[in-house]
Amino acid sequence: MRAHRSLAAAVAGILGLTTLAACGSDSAGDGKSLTFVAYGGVTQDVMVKQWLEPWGKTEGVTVSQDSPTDYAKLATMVEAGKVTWDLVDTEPFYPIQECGKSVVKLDHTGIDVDKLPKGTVSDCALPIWGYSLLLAYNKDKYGANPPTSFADFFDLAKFPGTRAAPANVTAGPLEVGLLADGVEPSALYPLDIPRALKKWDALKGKVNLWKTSSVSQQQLEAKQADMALVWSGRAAEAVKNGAPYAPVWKQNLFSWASVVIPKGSAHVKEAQSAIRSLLTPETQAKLAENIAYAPVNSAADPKLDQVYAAYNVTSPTISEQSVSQDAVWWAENQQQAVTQWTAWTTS
Amino acid sequence: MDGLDHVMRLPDRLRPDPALGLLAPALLALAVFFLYPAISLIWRSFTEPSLGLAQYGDLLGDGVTLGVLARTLWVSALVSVVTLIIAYPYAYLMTTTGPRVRAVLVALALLPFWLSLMARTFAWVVLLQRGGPISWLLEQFGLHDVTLVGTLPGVVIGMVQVLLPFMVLPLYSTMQGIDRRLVTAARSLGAGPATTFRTVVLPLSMPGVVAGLSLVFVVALGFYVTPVLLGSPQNALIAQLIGIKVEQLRDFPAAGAMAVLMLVATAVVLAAATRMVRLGDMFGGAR
Repeated sequence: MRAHRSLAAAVAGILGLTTLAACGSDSAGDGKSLTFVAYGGVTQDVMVKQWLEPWGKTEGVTVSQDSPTDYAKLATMVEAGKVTWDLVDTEPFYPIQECGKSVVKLDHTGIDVDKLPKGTVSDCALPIWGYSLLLAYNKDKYGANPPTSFADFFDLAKFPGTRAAPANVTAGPLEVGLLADGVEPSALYPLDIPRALKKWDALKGKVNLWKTSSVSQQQLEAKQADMALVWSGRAAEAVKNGAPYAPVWKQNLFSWASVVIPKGSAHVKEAQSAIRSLLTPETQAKLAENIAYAPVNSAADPKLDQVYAAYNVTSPTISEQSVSQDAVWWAENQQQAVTQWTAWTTS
Repeated sequence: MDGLDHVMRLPDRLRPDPALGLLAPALLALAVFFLYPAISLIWRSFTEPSLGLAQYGDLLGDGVTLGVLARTLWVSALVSVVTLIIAYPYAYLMTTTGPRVRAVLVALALLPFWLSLMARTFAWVVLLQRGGPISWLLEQFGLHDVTLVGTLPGVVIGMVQVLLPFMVLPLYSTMQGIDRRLVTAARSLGAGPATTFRTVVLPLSMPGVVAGLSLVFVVALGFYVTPVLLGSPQNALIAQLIGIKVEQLRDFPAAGAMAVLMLVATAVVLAAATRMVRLGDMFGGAR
């Protein structure tokens, strides 16, 4: 008998807890609030301080945050009909792949899309800021004879030394391999994955693959890699912290952060308003002044210090040398690219 | 064995043990937060996209999963053995010293539990990196340019440090139960220190060795943070592969299938190991 009673109490307790949890997520629907999700760290801090907090103040919206962006979590939320995220920073392929599935179409009114870089705008996606995957090399190591192209990255005979590259295929190692192998930028897509991997075979077992960009920055600052494929923002921060590295801009691989609204978000209106505020020249300038990511609105006129100006990848001197990642190809081929790259990296 | 007999006799009794009611909250929590998600993930691995073993066929034929699975088992076994070699003398020392030194030794063994796994692993990154303290030390012995970060030895070093308490504690509790008079008796009957150790201490500490080895082995199989930070994809373990399936491919059925393969492989290895230890016990006359 007593055993039964404690069992009943326990069941009641568990039920009570789950009900409470369910109420908790429902109550978020009242009032004006917005939950923003990005990859955490300094980048998210800058987005919130320079963009969302000022916007929330003007619009009377309370901004809360979560991190990191997790596609599996997002898909599970949408599947379960319990979406607590309203505005999410994603990679460019994701909103094209998931348009109408886990993310909704965006209202482009009030946004000057002609001023945004080609390829960054689609039904479900608008850009946050731009960056490039570039080759950075240790100036002390290579001195008067520095590398000048991606081909040199793969040339261990001519340029001995340690190498670092992204572990994540969507960051662009396949593109870099093909460009190094002499593929013309105009003929880059569709990517010839086997050819790219064959190029990478030259560095098999000799390249340190970074999983997060903070690790890539650490690798530069601690001089772990003599040559590294890193994102422009991280290279700039490392240089600012005294790392003796220089960039190679030839064929730098331009990419960008996309902003999406999950399907089932209870705050679509607020999220749309936040996106409009994001893409104004003023917000774009403020973001670029506080972190080494490039403004995507060409009307933005940020006041940049020397290092940030040198790494502003949407400035004409750099962007004329850029190769832009094709988000549409990635949306269609991400699965097989991940599978084949994983097979190469883990064996 | 006594404990198992007790559980097996339970159904014979007419009334359930009232103490079972106390277990109900824990069992319910496990059912809701662990059993249900685990079963649904396993279920999806057999039913999506269609009923059958297609997910398993794909994994076994992809040329990656089996290799990583084998590497995971091998690394975990290696970590277990290295941990045992370090922890055995440490635990033995804990049983022979006075209470004050023992308190210090216990605190040192437990210290890793109180520090964040992330912080500890990043500390290893700094220690093991190119030009770091360990690289410098090896340089003094004439080993040039040794970078352990991004290599399998680096991963093993990090994992051994994290898992050391899981070996020290079971060893210590077993060794503490060894009757010291047996050691004295062996010595007085003319056995040297080595013989005493081999014929008295070692056999009696075997239960602790087995417990420690299986504990460390099983925990090591699921390691994620340490191999990500200290290793490279070239020495990825199965948890990293499952991570890629979930995070990047959003392929839950394949992730579930991978987890089941891991579970089966673990069960087989543990069953084989237990069998071997039983045989060893018979010859060693431990019981």
